[in-house]
Amino acid sequence: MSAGFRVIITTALLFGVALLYWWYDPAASGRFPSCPFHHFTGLFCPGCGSQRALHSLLHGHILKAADYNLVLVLYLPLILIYYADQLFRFLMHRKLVNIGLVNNVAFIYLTLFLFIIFAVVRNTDSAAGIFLAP
Amino acid sequence: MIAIYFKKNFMDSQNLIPPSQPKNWLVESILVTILCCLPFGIVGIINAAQVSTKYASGDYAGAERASQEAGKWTKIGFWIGIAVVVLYVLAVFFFGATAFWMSSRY
Repeated sequence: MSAGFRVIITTALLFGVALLYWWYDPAASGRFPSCPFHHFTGLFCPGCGSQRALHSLLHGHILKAADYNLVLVLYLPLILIYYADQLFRFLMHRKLVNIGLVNNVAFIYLTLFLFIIFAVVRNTDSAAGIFLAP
Repeated sequence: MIAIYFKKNFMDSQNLIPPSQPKNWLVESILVTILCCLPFGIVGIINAAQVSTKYASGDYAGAERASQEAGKWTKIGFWIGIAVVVLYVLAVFFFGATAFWMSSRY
């Protein structure tokens, strides 16, 4: 599969998924699959609430999205800039921005630490846990 | 540290241009962690750290190997995520497993 084909497929898929999540509310429609991990264990993983967060984000409700899944909202700017850069590299054959953060060892370990802490705390009964739970 | 120092100085003296850092798959791993498969995403993030650590210490061949490892785990996570969604759709289509879908929406 060529790089160009991959970029086109990914972009098409992203638009399709964005449209789907903009149109349907995963919290209300009941047509969206629940996370198998949550279904079988009853625990929240770091990804729980990301479908509802995506729906909220596409409607501009950033705070509501942060309540469903904080890490998704926190990392969204990085994800968007990274994707824009990848797309630009494919189309223009040069870098759009130099995202040093992605290659920063301290940042990577911070991310790992954050995800693990997030996964643990959102399953607790503390005030922080209740805020972080989806 | 001494080894790194000498390696860098040796490289400078030889006027070798170090290769650019291989892709560490960090953002892809974060996406896999948030959107589908926690274990593969975490393995991906650890591998991303390996790529950047090895590159920073001048181990370019090691960074390249870690990059391939990171890519492998991220792709495995991605395809398992796709497979799970497809299985869900098939299960509902053939068995009408709506109870499973309706039970909770996390």
